[in-house]
Amino acid sequence: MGTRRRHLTAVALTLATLGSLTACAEGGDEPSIVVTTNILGDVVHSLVGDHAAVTVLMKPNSDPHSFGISAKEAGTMEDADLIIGNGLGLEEGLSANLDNARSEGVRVLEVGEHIDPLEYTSGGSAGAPDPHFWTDPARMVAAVDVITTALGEEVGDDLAKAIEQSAASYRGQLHDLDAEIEEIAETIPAQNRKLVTNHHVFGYFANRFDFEVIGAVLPSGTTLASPSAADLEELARTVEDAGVPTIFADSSQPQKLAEALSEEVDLDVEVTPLFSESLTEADGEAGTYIDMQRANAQAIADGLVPR
Amino acid sequence: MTRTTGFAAPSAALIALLALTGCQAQQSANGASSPSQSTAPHGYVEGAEEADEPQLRLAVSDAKTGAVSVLDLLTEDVVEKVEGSPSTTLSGADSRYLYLGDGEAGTVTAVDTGAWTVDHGDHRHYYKAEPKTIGQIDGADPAHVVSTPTEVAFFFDGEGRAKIYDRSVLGDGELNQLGTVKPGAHHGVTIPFEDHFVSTLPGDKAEDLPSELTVYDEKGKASPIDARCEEIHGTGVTRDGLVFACAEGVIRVNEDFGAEVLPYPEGTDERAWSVEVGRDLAATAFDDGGIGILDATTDEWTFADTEATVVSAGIAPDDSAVVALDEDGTVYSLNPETGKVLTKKKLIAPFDAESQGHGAGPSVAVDSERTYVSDPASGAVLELDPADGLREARSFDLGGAPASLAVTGR
Repeated sequence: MGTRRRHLTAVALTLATLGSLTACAEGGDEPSIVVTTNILGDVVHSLVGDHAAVTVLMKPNSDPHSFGISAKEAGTMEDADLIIGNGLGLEEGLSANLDNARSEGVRVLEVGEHIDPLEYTSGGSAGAPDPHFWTDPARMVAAVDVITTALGEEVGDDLAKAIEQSAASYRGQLHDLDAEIEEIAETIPAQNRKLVTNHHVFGYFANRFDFEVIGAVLPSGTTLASPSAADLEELARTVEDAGVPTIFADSSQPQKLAEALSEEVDLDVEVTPLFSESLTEADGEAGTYIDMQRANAQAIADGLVPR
Repeated sequence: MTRTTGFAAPSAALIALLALTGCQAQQSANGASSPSQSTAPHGYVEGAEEADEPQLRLAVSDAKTGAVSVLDLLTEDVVEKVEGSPSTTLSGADSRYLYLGDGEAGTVTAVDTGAWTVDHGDHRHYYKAEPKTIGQIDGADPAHVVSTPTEVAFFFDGEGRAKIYDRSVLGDGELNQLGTVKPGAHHGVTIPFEDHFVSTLPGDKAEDLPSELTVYDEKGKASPIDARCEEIHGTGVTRDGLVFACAEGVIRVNEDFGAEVLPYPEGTDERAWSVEVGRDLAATAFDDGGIGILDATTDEWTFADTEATVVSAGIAPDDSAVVALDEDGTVYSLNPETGKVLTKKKLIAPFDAESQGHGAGPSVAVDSERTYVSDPASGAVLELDPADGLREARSFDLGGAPASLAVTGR
């Protein structure tokens, strides 16, 4: 890996410009790390600080499965010292770019391969590995170990040394987060630890904190335009069987859904969104990985602790 | 074969193909085509917006003017109107695009309805963008259009060839012809399937309906398919292979291009002229009334009688509903598994199929949760709830003579 070409145009991005990607600095000697998802991007930033240029490809509030990148970013990938991705099939839209970078001799670390992935247990993907490991903070600690090792191998001992302290500190924060979520989860009675949801990312969370994920299909907007009991029966039965006061769902009209359930099938239930696959802008409620996990845990507890 | 023209572009091609496109190929917005856009928001396609749920749109073709209106089913606004001529018909549609054939002009116009879903197996992503007309494909006597996730085959009866286009770049507004297969002039159809193209072959005369199939490889080399059945017309693609309606039954073609003729179900002595497909199910309406549902995983039929000849039918993309409409204006909701009639209701004015041109009659488009029925006589499209006794959920008063329908966005 020592003979890698490095163009002078390599983009050097500092933490402050994460998300806007407008600054362009000449940074020939600075190690260049490219991270695919903004969740891992935040983690890597927390580890390396300003010891390396970190380019995050996935913008805030977007979708890890299908975001595009610019030609400039593709160039940055080919010249990177290390590319860090989620793996397990999450970034399928990037596979051609990742292959290109590999053929240029750039190592692509697919973190998900190294964190003891769970398999989907049901649905069309049953048996396939579930890529959404970040909903388990303990696995993120394992991810940090994998990432720091790879940084040492690909960039060098200097960087490994330079980030020792920040890595130790960040591991500590993740352990605290894990303990905090455990505490929040314990406020929810065992029989209420059920996530009735149309999100597909909480398998690891449930596994870590002893929840049950109950998949729910939400009626679509066309249905909610003029719903009847028949449209809501299946969802209502799922919620009633689970016996929970809140469902966690992406819906463009959560209020309308709640009203329809109340009016048509006499079921009073809150509809609460969670953060699933992307950070928000830095000043949003889920601007960092840790904030995102904390916000979700709190929303889940708010929804499931009996009032 | 007097039925040929009457069924030149049956509803089989209209809505049946929705199910083909559940998992659309990646259309990456990266690379040299979008240089230095690092500050622009990165959608799946430039200008597209991601949504929490399917952005369903309903395309409605006017029987008299040939114009196609695209109705947003969430906002209830008509978001696009594509002008046409009386000879324009909705020759085909898939889960995102419309293909409007004009027999007199010798063109097929591809239209992006701007609503689509990307399936990632365990979950889906929903997108919405401005609808737009992509462009025209020219050729003599355009007829059947078959769309798959990656390719669209436009069959031109007069030229006797199918022009194959890259579906994955249509969203970028590009018409990119990948190739042509040329079985010869006849009223035929070509289906992209398993990296090959399955096509009908002309009979003795150009005006005969085909009775044989062939498969072309990517280089255009043809190999015969070993199944012969007179008067092939009507096709559909299920997850378990192709279904062609013919005089004696349906020809089933599997992924190895093996084929057999499966007789029509007990209960009918007549044939079908079109095939509607969902995911694993295919439905065929018979000449003297009645509708059969074929489970392509088991090759078993169910049959339900109807009071009059079925003029249009459809299956939800997830096989959750089967709905048929007969000449008397009666709508039938069928149990997809047992084939039994769950509900029937007379909802629109009777329609005389014999006296009208093709594409002029009422039609049915079946989505997973709602079904749409056009009523050319009243100018309305009804939104029905098959799970609730065909309850009329909404009615869209579009005016004109709404006929062929297609739902996009799934």
